Amino acid sequence: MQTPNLRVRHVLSALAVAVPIVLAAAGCASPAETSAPPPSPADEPAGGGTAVLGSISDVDSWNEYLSRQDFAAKLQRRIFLRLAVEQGDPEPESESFEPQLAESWEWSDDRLALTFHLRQARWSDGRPVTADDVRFTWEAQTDPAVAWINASTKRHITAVEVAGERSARFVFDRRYPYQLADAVEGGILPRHVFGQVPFEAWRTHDWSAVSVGSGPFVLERHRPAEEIVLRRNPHFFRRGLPRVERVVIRVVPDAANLTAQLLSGDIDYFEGLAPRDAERLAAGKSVSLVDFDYPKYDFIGWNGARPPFDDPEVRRALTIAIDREALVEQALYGYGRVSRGPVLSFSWGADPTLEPLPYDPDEAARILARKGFAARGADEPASGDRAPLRIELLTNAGNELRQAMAVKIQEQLSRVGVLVTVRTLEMKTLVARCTAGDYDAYLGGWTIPGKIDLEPIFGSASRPPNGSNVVAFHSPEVDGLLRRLDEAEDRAAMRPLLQALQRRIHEEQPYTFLYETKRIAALGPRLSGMRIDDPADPLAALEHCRLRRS
Amino acid sequence: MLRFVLRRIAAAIALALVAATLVFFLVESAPGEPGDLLLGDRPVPPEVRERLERAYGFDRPAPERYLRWLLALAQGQLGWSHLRSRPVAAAIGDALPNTLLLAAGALAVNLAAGVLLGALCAARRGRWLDRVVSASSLTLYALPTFWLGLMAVMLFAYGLALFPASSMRSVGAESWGWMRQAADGLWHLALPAVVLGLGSAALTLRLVRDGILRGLGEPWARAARARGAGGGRLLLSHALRCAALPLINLVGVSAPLLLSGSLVVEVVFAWPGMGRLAFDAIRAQDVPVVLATTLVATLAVALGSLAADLAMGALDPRIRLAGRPRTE
Repeated sequence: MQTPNLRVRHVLSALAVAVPIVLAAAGCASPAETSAPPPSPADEPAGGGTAVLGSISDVDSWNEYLSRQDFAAKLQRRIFLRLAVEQGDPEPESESFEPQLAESWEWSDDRLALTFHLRQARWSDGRPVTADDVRFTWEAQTDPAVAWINASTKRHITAVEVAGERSARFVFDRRYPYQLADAVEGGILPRHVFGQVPFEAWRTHDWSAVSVGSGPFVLERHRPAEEIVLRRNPHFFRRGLPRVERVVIRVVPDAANLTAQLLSGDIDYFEGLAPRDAERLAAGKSVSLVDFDYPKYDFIGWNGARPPFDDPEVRRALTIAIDREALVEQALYGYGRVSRGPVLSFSWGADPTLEPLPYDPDEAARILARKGFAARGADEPASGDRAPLRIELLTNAGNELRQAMAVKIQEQLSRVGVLVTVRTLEMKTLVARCTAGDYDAYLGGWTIPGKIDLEPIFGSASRPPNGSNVVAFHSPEVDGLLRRLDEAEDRAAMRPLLQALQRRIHEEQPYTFLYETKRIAALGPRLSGMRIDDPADPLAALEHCRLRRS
Repeated sequence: MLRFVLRRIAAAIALALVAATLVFFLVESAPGEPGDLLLGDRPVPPEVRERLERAYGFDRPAPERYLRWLLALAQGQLGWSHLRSRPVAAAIGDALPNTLLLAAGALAVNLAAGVLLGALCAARRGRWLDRVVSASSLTLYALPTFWLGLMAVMLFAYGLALFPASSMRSVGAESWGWMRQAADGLWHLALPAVVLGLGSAALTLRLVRDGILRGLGEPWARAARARGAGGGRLLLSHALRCAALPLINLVGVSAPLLLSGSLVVEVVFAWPGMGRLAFDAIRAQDVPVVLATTLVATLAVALGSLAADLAMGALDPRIRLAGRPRTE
């Protein structure tokens, strides 16, 4: 048995060895080397290198048809190309698509068939992209076992035929304005990889091992909740692209931490900056900001099945009592615009003649007084013999912006004598109460990517559990317009119907349409060439980005 | 001894199952349907939601889902995570080593700081050093870990740029040699481990200080002094052993709690461990992951306690002999 003195000596010896190692390691792993991205030597060509992006979200699935996340979809579009991509043309009667895997397409005379001619593209494993892959993808998109969220986009496509090795023919059951958009919706998958797994087993298969793609990048590695690494696809059909060798996405659940990493140069790009942080960063010089339209609007939904919110005049009064411009300025710091209605203002179908209801608290007070409520306005002093309108305003916990908005709305409505109690609920509880109709009003939002489809929100038959019409909106006129909209064959026929719908909903105010937020992306000094042309796909230009020499 | 250990392990497993069952029915009792969080704020036709609910098995009643989970568990399967689209076992396999690493680092900081400072305070009992160190450690203990973590990031990561703000490794570290990778890993571990370990070091410090002081008052300490044992040797070689037993007990109880208590630190430092996994799963109602992390946490607490009991029995013969019938 060792004596105590020898034991102490052994401990001290171990420390004498360990401490220098740790100190040397700390010296090796110095901030200059490892907190910043790998340095580029002065003579390195402009291409190559590793771009580092920051993200709060991780990817839920590497199979586009199983994923439910926007962020995952953005990355998947870098790996699996579509036949073509809509360019977001605001013109009502035309739409433009940029060819991707398909280099051209042609309609049949009766416009019930659409044939795509594929370019000579290859998967990253060298095998050619063929029409059979297109057909396989359609089979996956429409298979009930896959349960793709956007499967309804394919409901009018009755078949996809292989008309040649690089020709795929889509057959429709009717003519309608979104035929081309529906046909190209979704990335094309390689049958020789994804077809190895039966559709029934897709949902329990680990797709993170798949490193085949047709896009500028392929998945190299995914460490869940930590980082995602994409590497350049050597067989990408656009020669010379992508310019960077790798893209690393750091998953950091704290936005403040990501913002700080952007400022210190640890990351090159971060999308989803909070408006208040954008204000702070805009003053600095090291980071540039890009804001772009985002397909989302926030609203107050009034419970149309509960008096007095079933009265359109009361809803109009509440809307005009809210200073929506002030909300955009104070809470969004100007990164947004007042919403006009259910169609996003930057969409082709938006009615440019429709203006948001004006802010008029005096008129709001007059209307509320007429309806028998105690109201307070310039010419409506508070009345002691009437009860004020009391509203419980629900919103979801964890959304700082909405909670801040709810408090501002509470204050604005109090100026006209409406007493609002703000209650934040956990999301599932909020959904449960709204679905059950157990609420007065709730502050929420809709994300509307892609097509204009108002039926799930405003159709009388779309009340829960049959749809998302949680405000119990019912209008035979709107139902009729929605039916005619569904039957329209082209955008020219859709446009007047959409305008009539928007005006009717504008008059009824089932929702107080509050604002459309702009999404803010921050770019570090290393990244150049990043631009955001398509709000639905902000990372589309990633293949053109390069890293500035240090 | 073997029977004792087996009995404790069986009890730990039973406890874990009871805890997981409680958690399952607690989650189920929350308002709303299991599929409510699947689609976020996207308005979709009802058939889309129905298909998704069917695909994830949310259309089955809760008792049936529980029994299916139990049956799968009996076959060694923990189910599928719809949030991570991976087997739950794989998700746990990814996260658990990271949390164990963080917990080990925090424990090392806790013990190093607690033992050293506790011994120092005992040696300087009543003097300003004792008072300052004790007060500072209690302050650290009282401060919320989240705040400590954020302050550490602001000061040491961004202010002084001494340590990285997040993650377990630097970008591109996989291409380095193993020594550099290890050093990089230690460098990333330093700040979160210090934040997690320093707060609980106050308790360790207190235990060590009181244990040493108690030991120094024992008759054998007087005998050791009489035999010529100096101050340092008396303190470290003799009196410190008196603090060992309660310290082992504390480690046995707190080590598994580090697994669950690391959640806050893991979020602040983007450390991909069990805490974050459980937190994300609870928010997304990924029930198989919630149940699996409950199982792991409960087993860790029970087995940690068992390990502490065994260690105490190994160190102190009096504990080993306690309970045995006396022989005449």
